Amino acid sequence: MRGNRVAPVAPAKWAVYSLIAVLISAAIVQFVPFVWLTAPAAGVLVWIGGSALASLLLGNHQRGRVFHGVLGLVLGIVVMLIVGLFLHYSGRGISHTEVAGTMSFVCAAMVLAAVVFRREAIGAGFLPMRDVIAAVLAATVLVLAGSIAVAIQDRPVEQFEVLSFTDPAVASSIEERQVDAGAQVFVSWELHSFGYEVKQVPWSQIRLGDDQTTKVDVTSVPSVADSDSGFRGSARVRAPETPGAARIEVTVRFVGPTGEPIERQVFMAVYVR
Amino acid sequence: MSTTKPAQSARLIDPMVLRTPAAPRRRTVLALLAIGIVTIGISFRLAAEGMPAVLYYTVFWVGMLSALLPVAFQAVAATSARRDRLLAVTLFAVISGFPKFLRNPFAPSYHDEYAHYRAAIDVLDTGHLFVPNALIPIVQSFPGTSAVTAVLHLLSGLPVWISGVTIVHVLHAAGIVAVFFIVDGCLNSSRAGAIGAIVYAINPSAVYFSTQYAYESITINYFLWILALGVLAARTLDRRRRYGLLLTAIVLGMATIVTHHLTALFLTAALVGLLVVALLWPSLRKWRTDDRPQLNPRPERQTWLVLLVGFVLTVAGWVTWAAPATIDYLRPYFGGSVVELNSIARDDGDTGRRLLADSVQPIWERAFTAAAPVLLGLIALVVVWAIWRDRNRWYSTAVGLMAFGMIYFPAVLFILAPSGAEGARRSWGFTYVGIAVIAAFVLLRPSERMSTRTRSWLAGVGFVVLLIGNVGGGLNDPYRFPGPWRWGTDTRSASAEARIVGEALAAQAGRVRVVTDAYTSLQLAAYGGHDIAAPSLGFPAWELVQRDDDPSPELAQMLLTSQYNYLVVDVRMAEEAAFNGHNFGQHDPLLTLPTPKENLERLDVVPWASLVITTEHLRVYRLDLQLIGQSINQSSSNDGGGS
Repeated sequence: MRGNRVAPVAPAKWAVYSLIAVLISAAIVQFVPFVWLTAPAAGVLVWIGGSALASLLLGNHQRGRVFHGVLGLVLGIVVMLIVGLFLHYSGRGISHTEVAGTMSFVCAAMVLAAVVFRREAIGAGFLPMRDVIAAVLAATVLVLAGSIAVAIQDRPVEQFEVLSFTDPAVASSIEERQVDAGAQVFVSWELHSFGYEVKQVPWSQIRLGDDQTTKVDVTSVPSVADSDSGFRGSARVRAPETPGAARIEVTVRFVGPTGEPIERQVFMAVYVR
Repeated sequence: MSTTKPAQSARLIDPMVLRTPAAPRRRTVLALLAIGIVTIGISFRLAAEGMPAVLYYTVFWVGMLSALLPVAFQAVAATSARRDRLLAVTLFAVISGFPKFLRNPFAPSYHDEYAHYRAAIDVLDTGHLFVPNALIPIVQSFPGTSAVTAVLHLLSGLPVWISGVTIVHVLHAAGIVAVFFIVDGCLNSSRAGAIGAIVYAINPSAVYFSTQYAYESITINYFLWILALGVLAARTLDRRRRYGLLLTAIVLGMATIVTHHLTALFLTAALVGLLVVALLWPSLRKWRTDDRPQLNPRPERQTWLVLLVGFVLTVAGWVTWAAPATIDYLRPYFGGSVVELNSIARDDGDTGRRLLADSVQPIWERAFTAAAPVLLGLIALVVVWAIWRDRNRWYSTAVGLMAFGMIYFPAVLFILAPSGAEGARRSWGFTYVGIAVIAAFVLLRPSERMSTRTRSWLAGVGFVVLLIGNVGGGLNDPYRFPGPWRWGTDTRSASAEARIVGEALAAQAGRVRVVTDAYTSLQLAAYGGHDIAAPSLGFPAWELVQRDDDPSPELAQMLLTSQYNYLVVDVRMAEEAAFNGHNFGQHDPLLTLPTPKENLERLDVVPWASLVITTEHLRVYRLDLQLIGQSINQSSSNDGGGS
């Protein structure tokens, strides 16, 4: 046999180690909410599942433990694919509970199957300690260097704002946007800024036909995520007396990131009956 | 494990014939690769700041070479042990994925990445596979990528994007390790394996294209492992072990066809080639197998036949049962590109593409890009002659893989054809496995005509030429480097503004059908989940903005019946021509031209378009195309100023 000449692990010992690792990982991915714990646990689960499948299919590590370990990673990803397909076709759906439960069961079953059907010694990717230390050291250097390289690229976020109708922009058909001649129409708009905080909306205007409303009621929209902040306004305007297509216009003037005034406009067709 | 004796190919190559400096110490390697990775990050920052191209290209290559060269030395050094070579190859593979990771670590940026990211999000939203995809419709029939991404995301708690990228990069490293075993298996030398793996890791697709978050980036590594398992099976005399290897390969083949159509085609082609060579090659030998049982062709024939039959049955089953649209999807690429190549050969004008046209790449990188295929061509000529001369001593599997690698050369020509360029680019990652065998053989082939010193210098220079030339020939500048906003590229036209507009539209109106340009569409589909119109000659959706009149009644009717109720416009399309030359695909009537500003401004006065969302650069219009020809009672007086 070629490959690094490290004595293979006894099947019983390998099975016990692997099953303990699968159980602990399964418990973590199922119940623990911290990603810094669940991510390594998921990695261990996937790798042991793949290694067990490799052992089941190939038996002993034929080309050394690196061969078996890397093939185990590849087959672990295939195991994830099989789990996804199973959950889809079984109708159970791909959700956290189903994935964690099915993956844990499949990995444990494959460890047991590998031991039962492959009584010969199993490598399963266990590397000598000096290789593990070298791999951990290299991974640490890569992560640190990569983090610095990412941080170097960090650039200021874009600054922009989005002005939108909130009503009746949701109307999806002409029928829903029909109004009676001379009727009061409720109109509202929303302005969100990204990358800066809108301090002031000194002026806004809503028009429908001849009716013009200025200085409408303006309220601040609380910041929800990132640097998203903004203002919301609404008003009632009177529809024209003439039947046919008309246009609601909203124009908003606000203070930009460097203190300069900015205007944005939206408009929508309504249909006067 | 029973394998053939190494004596037969030991005469074909001499692992000691290549002299290299002693393997550097591990701490030196780690220090240099850390410096190299940080330097690559600096080059990306310089590119993003809009610095001169020659500056950020130079810094990039300083970083790449300082990170990769010491590891390459460690992998191929004559004094390295097999395990050290393998670990060094693994490290080389991991580092070769870093430029792409650093290019966009937190969000999709390449065209296909948006499509697969959205597919994964939709799988998680619905809990089921086979979700429709607006950007690449065929992705719906190949749910392997979104399935593994969703499962890893749900298991690990990592963000969806990071989950996908993690899978791609783990498989990228694993695939290059597979090449080690392929070449090692073919030439019976771990040093040859290390050389082959490193040559493969610098193929034109490896550093950027095959490390993007997309289905081929996953399956290309399944492909490599299938070949690795096949090579091992072909050389195993123990039937039980051979069946185990073949079964593992078929499991990977099933994963391949569930994930990507084109990889299935390349794998079929490779298996057919290997089987044909396994059938024919022994008849060219002058001895009988009875004389040399270790070169018995039966295991090789059996291996490739079983793999081919098993895989073709799997493909046929999947395509018939789950992905019947695949054949219609792929057909135009083959027929179209052959016709276009024919036109180029007959010099029919503007049919073809101009390589490196309008490129900002430094002249030295362009020179290396042009030199790389020439260099490989010369090497290939040496190999053809050498194989024929020593044909009695070659395994048919090694010859078959080299023959498969030769497809690289005609495939380079297809890069000139618009329809064939994508296929050609995708083929390199597959055919280069044969090139890896060829390169390892040539570097380690004993020859009295060349001293070891000359050979070592040529190997070093060849490595640098191939690395720089191949990466330069892989993808264009906007794909490789970040940079200032530029209209008309998949990567640099992306903005948080477009992403937020997509999300705002989804929040207001739900996931709707949208007409928009080829660049804004990526963000709208990925983040808003909107269904984007795919303009064509039969569905010229570009008429909404690319002409100064209302759309034709035929188009209006198509948009109405298909419920394309929204139009999204980026006004910057009127400020400059698209970098890619089009705003609405290759049939755009205003190819290479910016959209006239008047075309966009008239959208503010036509009755059939209502401006419902606006930002500094983007406009979202609600379309009511049954109002074409009507007028508004009161037009905007613009008392408060325009937007």
